Amino acid sequence: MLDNKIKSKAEIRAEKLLPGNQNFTTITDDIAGVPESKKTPIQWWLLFGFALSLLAIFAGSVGFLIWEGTGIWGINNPVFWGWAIINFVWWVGIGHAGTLISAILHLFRQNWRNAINRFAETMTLFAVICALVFPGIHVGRIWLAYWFFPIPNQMGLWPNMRSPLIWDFFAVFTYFTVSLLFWYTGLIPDLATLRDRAKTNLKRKIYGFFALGWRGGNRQWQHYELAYLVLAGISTPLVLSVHSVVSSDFATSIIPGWHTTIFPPYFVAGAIYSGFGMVMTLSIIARKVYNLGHIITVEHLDKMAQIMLLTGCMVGYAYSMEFFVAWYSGNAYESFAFVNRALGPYWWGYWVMIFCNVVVPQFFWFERYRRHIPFLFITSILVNIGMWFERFVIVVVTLHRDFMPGAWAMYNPTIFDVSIYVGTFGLFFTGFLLFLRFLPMVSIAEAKLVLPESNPHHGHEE
Amino acid sequence: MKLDSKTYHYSSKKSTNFILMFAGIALLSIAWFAGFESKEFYFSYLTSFFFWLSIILGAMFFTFVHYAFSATWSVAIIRVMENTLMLIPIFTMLFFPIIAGMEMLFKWLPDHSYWLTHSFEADHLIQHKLPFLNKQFFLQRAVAYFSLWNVIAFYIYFTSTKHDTDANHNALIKLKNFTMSPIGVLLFTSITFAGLDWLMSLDPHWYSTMYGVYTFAGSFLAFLAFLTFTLIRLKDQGYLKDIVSEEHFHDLGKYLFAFTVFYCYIAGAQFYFIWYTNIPEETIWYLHRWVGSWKTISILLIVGKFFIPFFALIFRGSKRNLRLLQFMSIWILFMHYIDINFIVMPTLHHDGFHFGIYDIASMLGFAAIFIGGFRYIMSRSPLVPLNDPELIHSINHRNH
Repeated sequence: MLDNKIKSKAEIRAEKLLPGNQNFTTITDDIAGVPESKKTPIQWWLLFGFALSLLAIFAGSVGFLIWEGTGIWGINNPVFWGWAIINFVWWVGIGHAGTLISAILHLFRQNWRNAINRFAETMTLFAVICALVFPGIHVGRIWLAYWFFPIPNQMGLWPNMRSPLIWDFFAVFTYFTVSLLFWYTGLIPDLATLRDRAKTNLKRKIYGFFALGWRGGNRQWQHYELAYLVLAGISTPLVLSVHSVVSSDFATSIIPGWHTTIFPPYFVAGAIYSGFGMVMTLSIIARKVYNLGHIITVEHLDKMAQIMLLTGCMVGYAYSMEFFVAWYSGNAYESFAFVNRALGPYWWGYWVMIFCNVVVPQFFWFERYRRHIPFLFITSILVNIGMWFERFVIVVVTLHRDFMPGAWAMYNPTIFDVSIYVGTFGLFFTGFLLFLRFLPMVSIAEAKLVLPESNPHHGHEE
Repeated sequence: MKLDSKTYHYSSKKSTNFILMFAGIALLSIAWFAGFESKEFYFSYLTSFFFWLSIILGAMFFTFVHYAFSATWSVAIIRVMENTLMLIPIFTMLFFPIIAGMEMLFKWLPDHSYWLTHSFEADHLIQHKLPFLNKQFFLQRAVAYFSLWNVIAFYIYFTSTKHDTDANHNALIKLKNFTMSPIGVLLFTSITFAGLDWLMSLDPHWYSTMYGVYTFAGSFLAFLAFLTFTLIRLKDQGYLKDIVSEEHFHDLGKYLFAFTVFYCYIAGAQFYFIWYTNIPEETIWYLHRWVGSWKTISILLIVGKFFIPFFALIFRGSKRNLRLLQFMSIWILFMHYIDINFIVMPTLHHDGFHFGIYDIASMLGFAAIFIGGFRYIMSRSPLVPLNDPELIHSINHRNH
């Protein structure tokens, strides 16, 4: 009974996650080969050129914004918050998958994360940078943006610690700092690998400098694993806290449609959802361009689709609860806000959100859709469109019809709203493509952990 | 490796278990008989009912997670969870006194005593909610929840125990397909609406979108504590030797810690947004719980349900110390009772916390039924899924 010779799940998992005859050497060669290669794929150059032109648009638009002021945006009375906050929340949300994958899935011993965690963490860093741009530039007088910081200034002003906007600042900066440390800690063994394989002295010096003298000894690994575990423990509450704090920007107000108690877990689920959407989009492109289909396998995409299904159902649950309780509360303003979302002038925004976020992931109940790469690619983009519209619905659609019908107005984004948003993609992709070019996009050390011979009990079980 | 069959065959006297269950039913019946006309009884009964039911609902959720994600480490303890599920049929029956006492419990019924002196029609909020909060729909929903829970419990339990005898591994695929399906969505929805119906609607004016998650978080934490307590008890009695080890308890300790934090996050966020915005129709729920000795209970919950378990369980050593874990699991269950009491009772006792004869009788009655039933179910099948190919890996499981 107990000694039947069925392959264990761990062995099956290893075969699925690293198919074919892969060993320590081939994994190192395949992954390290990308930054070492002299020939950069033509697709990289095309994308990089495209990203740089978007970055130029970004720089130009932000420059003009600083010169001219926030009047160039479409914001009006009553829609004081427009695309800037939507984009901020959207980018922060995307940044959530990185920490979830690297911290929470690590604590849950989900070793399929090993092939995508570096990817997701890097995406997190650049997404959070893109997010932080918006609070920085929305202040109008950008030279006073340092008033965010609780430091003495000539006006004797202190940030209002009772305002969720200031908690945002701390939450997002903490998140960025810890994510950066986590990302860098994970990189150290790989940087040492690149250093040892470097062909030129300059490369050896640069990689060696950042590898912090890593030698891969037993004691170093012990300290490293402990540090990694501690960082995972610290990051785990951050996954929940950052978007909970972002949600409090809305939920601490008394605006119908914003003030609702479910906001924190609902925002966190949505953030993880969009983050996985972005990881999916990027990894499908990267595995194709760099021929890494045997390292980022269909199995990995399948698992990500399962998480997207779970988080998609969670946001669906939140939308339904909000709607139900808006009616149940008997509060006329609350009901109006929700009926207005679904049937008002911006009805299309609401239904794009419902379609992309709730309807589309239902296909993932079926295995064949979770493993159909073109379908996954389209879905992952739809999810991010849907998540953008979720924030659009929350911000613009809620504000445009507030308590005073005399003040109701429609919101029309200007070309600068669009160019700054599109421009952040330039910022994001420029950074991300440079990472792909110079650093290993999959954690070499961790990818190997899936191999059965990495298990300390390998060959000694039973 | 061969396991000694004594370690996984739970033996308990059938007669003792039935006497225990019978005693519980008798106690509840006497209490019901004595308090037939008294609100006191029905509120106490509802509190105890939900306390024990939430453990079963938590077990249902954990079983779903175990099968849907093909978890390995928990294979050695899954049968204990599945045994908990099988108490659902008894609890379906035990729901009847609540139906009988609906007029005593729920203010949204026109027959409630409050409406003898007040005009039911003038309460426009309740009037607005009548399409949802009415006797017929309430009962239909209750039938729907219990049907779903019974179907889930029977399907999982019998598929899994059948696997013990016929060793047909298709059972595991069936269970995976069953749990990783929209039934999981239905389960979560039913837990949400059970919480809304049986707890939140006690104050029919008040509402919170978080309530479903709040009910779930409390239930899951309570089940984790129950599971930890049961496993330690079984080990103390000599069962599960060489099967459930310190490593499993370490993981359970992590779960207890994580869900203590999660519960605090959910309950805290619900309170926090209501406190911050300070809208009277929402703050009233917390204001009722800040009067007289309820204030002490509110503070006790913050300290006892969060700070004490948080600091007790944060250390690695404490998660591997069975005596401490045992104490903490009892403590968490105790705090869960206080929590349910804090949710239900202020509707009845506006002035402060009461713990009367009906509370004692219904808690003891339910405990006797639950424990008697649970011991009986445990003795019906092996304590571990013997033919699960992952059992050996779960036994050898290590926290690195």
